[in-house]
Parts: sequence; C-alpha cells; structure tokens
Amino acid sequence: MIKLRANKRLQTTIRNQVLWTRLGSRIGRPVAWVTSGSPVEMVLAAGFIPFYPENHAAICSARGMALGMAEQTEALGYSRDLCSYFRVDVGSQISGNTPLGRLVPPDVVLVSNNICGTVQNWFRVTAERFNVPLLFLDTPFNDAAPTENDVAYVRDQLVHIAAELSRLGIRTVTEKRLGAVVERSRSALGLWAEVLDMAAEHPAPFTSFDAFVHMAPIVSMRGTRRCISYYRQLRDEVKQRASAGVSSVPDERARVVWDNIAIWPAHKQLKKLFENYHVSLVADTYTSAWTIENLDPSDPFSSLARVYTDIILNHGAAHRVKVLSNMIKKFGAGGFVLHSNRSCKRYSLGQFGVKTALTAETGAAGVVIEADMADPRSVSFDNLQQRLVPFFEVLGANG
Amino acid sequence: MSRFAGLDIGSTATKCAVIEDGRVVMTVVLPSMPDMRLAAENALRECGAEGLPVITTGYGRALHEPRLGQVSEITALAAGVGLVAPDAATVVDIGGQDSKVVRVEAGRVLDFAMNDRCAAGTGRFLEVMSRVLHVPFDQFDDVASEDVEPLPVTSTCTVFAESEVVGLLSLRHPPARILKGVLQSVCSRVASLGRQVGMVAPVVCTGGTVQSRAVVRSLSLALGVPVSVPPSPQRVTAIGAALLCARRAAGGQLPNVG
Repeated sequence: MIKLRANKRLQTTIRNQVLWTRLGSRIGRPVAWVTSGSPVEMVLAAGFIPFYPENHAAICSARGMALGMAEQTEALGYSRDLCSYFRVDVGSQISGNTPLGRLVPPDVVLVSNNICGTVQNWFRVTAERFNVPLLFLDTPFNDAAPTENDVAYVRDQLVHIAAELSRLGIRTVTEKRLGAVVERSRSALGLWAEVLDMAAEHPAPFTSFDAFVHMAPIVSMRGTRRCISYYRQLRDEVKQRASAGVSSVPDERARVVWDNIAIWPAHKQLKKLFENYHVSLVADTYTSAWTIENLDPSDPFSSLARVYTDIILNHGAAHRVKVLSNMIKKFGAGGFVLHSNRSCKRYSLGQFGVKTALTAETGAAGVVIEADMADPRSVSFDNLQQRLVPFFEVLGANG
Repeated sequence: MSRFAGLDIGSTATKCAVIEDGRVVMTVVLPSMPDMRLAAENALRECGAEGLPVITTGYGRALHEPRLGQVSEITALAAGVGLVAPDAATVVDIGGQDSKVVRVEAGRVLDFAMNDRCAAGTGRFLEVMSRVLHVPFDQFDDVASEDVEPLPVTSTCTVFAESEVVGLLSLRHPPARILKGVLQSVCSRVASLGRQVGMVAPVVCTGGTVQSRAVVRSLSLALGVPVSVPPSPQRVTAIGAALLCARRAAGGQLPNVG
C-alpha cells in the first residue's frame, strides 16, 4: 500500500485550521458550532469561523479517546443508546479533553434536522451549556425530490438565519457575499467529486478508506480558499496514480461499495483486512454526500435551500437503494457492505430491506455488519471479520 | 497425491476429514479444549492425514501450520453441503459458538446470516442449560420426547436465560418442559437469522447440536419448514475444507485464501 503524499498535507491542514480557530477567536472573529449538514456557507459569509463537533468526535474516536468522553456523558444520565458522537462531544465539553489542544467555545450554534433529529437536541444542550443563541433550520423529509414549496419554506428560514447571523457576526450576509462563498464551496465539492470518481478506474487508485480520512476538509472547510487548494493537490495526485495504473490495494481482486459512516474504532484494522483480501472499497454513501452538483452562486439562498434539503439522509430507503445501485454500476462493484451503525438510527433504518432490494436490482452480493462509528464498546473487530471474510470469499467465487 | 485433508478447528470440537477422488475416506472429531493446537495435530494424526495437503477452517483456523490455505467456515460449509446434500438450497448450522444460515447453490455461497456477539442461539447456550438442568446432551432426545408443553424461556441472553431456568426449577417445573422451552428459545433465534436470507427449500441442518433429534424437531417447528440432517452433520465443514483443498491443489480457483 503506497501512502498518499496528501496524507501529510491533511495533517498540516487540520492543524492549521485548529490554530486559525484559536487565533481568529482571539482577534475578534466569532465562532459558530455547526452540524455536518448545516449550510456552513451562511456562517462563513457572516465572518464566523465554523467548528464541527461531529468531525471532532470522529477525530477523538480515531485517536482512541472516545470511550472516556462517552462515559463522562453517560455519568450525567444520558443513555448509552444515544449517538456516540453526541456522547463524545458532551464528554469533551465537560472535561475539556480534546486531541486538538483546546476547543474554542461557540458564539452561536447552527443546526439543521436534515441529517437526524438527534442533532436538534444535541445542539440545544450545547447552546444551553454555553448560553449562546441556537439557529435552527427545519428541512422537510423527502418522499422524492424537494418540492418548490419545500424549497420556498427552507429559503425563508435561510433569509431569517442570514439576518440573525448578520446581527451576531462581523459582516452582513448579502446575496453577493453569500454567492462568493457558495462559489468557493462549489469548486471544492467539484474537486472532491473528481477525486472520488477516480475510484471507478480499474484498479482503484483511491478507496473509501482514503476518502474517510481526506473528507475532513470538505466537511469542515468548504467555502474557503484553503479547501479548494487542498483538493486541487489531492485531485492531481490521485489523477497521477490513476494514469500510472497504481492500485490502492495490492493486486485488486474485488470491488465493493459501503453504506453508512466509517467505523472509526476499527478503521485501521478494517483497512488492513480489505487489503489482505485484495478488496477495494471503491465508493460509499458517506463521503459522497459532499459531492453536490447543483449549487448556484447566482441564486445562493434558493440553491442552498434545495441542496441542503435534498441530502441523502433526508430521504427514505427507496432513495438509498437508488443511490447505492447507481454507485455499484458506476464503480463496477460486485458487492456492498451495509454498516448497521448503532449510533445512527436514521442512517441504519431499513438496511435489511435495502440489502434485498439492492441484490435483486444489481445482482451484487451484500452483507450487513453491526458496529458503531465511535463507541469502541459496540465494535468487535472479530465479529466484523467473521462476517466480512466469508463475504469476500463469495465475491471471489463469483468473480 | 490423491488424498486431501480438511481441518475444522471449532470452538468446541475439532473435526478432520480426508477425501480421495471426491469421496470421504475418513473423518475424526475431537474436543478442541484445552489446547486447540494440540487437538488439531491429534485430529490430523488420527485421520491419517499427517503430511497431506490441508486447508483449515473454523475459529482456530490460523493456529495450524503448515497448511495449503485457510477459508471461512461459511465457504467450507457450503462446499461440504455440495457433496453430502447436493440439492440443498439452505443450510442451517448451529455450531458451538455461532449459528448461521447459508443460502447455497452447487457448493457455493449465495448469501448468509450469522448471529452476533452473543451465545444465545448457539450450542453454547444449550451447553449452559444442559448443566443447569442436569440433563446431558445425549439425553436431550429422551427428556424432550415427553408429551408436555414447552415453558417459554427468553431468547435474548444466555446469562438471563440461565437465571430464568434456575428460577423455573426452583418453582418445581418439570425439566422436560423447561428443556423444550430452551430448545424453542435457541431455534427461534436461528429462525430470525433465516428470515434475513430467506428460507428456501430444501433445507438441511448441520453442526454438532443437530445430532440431537429434539433439536432438529424444534428447529423445523421454528423455521416452519421440514429440515433434513445429512450423515455426520458435525463433519460437513471439515469435508468441505478437504474438497476445497483438492480443488486448490488441482490449480482451481480458491477465492481469497490467505
């Protein structure tokens, strides 16, 4: 396995972002804590520095710090059945523990229920703890695509949120200013889509295990110039690999797609297991959630309303089958892994039905694995291996 | 060389099979504990398989060297069923530490489901209950043949079920009714796995536990379909590993075997 040169740049980029948050807050830039599905473009246009508790929880988990933090939250009486990102985040807030040195408290929090209902409560708890305003964006759940009424409803809220952010921030959110941020987001999302699409090459020069790590800037820095520059370099490097025929896993023998968030406590072990069996994880519904195509800088409010209402988690199981089925065809996968994530009910609901429908539609073999994105107590690598190895063998036998 | 060995190092028993020209010539079953490595060596020796090419499978499959390869017990089970019950479309296997339902076709896996990080629904559950009830496994059939209604026992947790059974005994409920409840509990867990992949007939069941007719009867009731038991149900996975070994030695493709 040849490491990406961009891995080093990623570390520097994340570290600089953390430093910038700290420095910025010291020189008077306000900080907004936002959910991964929030229209971050809004807070950037108002001059806020965004911070992502979800990303932070993922980093804590990947560094093996999640358990202690989760336990602190549970000691307050929160159930272990709640989202592990929530438990890690609150634990970090209480203890001040973080792998990033020190967290800067929010001046405002922005939450949207387009990814789940949990964040709504989570960010309310956060807003109360820090005694800061909470801005909430309600996105109607989609049966098919968002209707014009849905878009108008969400757009109205965005206009209201823009006024609030202008009052609380250091800049007025004008259509022009927002348009410029949206343009930068669009560029970064386009570059990220290019990177992910290159996994369609045989062999795949880049896998979802790479994407799980390199997604950090697109989640937390989209809308900034640094984000564009980061993905330009990554795109160029992956492109080079693709044209040189470099495979991410040695001697690729099978290709599969993934549904749901990564399993951070077992990330490295899983990556190794896939490599040992020569299986490329070519695409996933998680990192590809940030490959939105239809952002329109000339009409930022409506286009943000549409895009943030239309995201995958705001759709039902039939949509998931469609997305995964297209992915299987586009990336030439012979199988799919559905991670039933104990922490994320919205993402995991209906997976057995999805599995049956997907196999019927594509002929690809599937497996459901049970784990958790962050809580190591709900992740057993042995159990994962027990399921994945026979599944890999099925793929080899079919291939 | 025309003989090939398959070694299934399970959590409870270690099974070895030797095949020659696609026919089973010898099988051996030994307890895996206390030393799995030693059990594997003994099984090979007793099977006359020392020095033969071998493919290992089961929980302890990485323990034995040298080997031609290792393969998951799901793949080996499907291969074995392909020989001993070639018409089977679904295999239900209740092993010592896990239970699985595998959809098969001509010795290959189409789909599978396994129980997750839990002893409920496995042979281990029956072992624990056998101890509490003071009914040894080989007497299950006699005790469960009594014409009495089963007493419901939880199917979610071995530890809870054990205290439940102790409670039922203290209330002087007859062991036959409790045992039937225990069997129902295990089999209902397995049936829920079956629903994940779809129970397509004909169904065969394998694994050490289905040597008991009472288990098979209870399984058939829970699944709602007739099930048949091939000869030596405990050895099917080892036989499958031996078949895969022969295929591998002949230069055939054996997927992803490390």
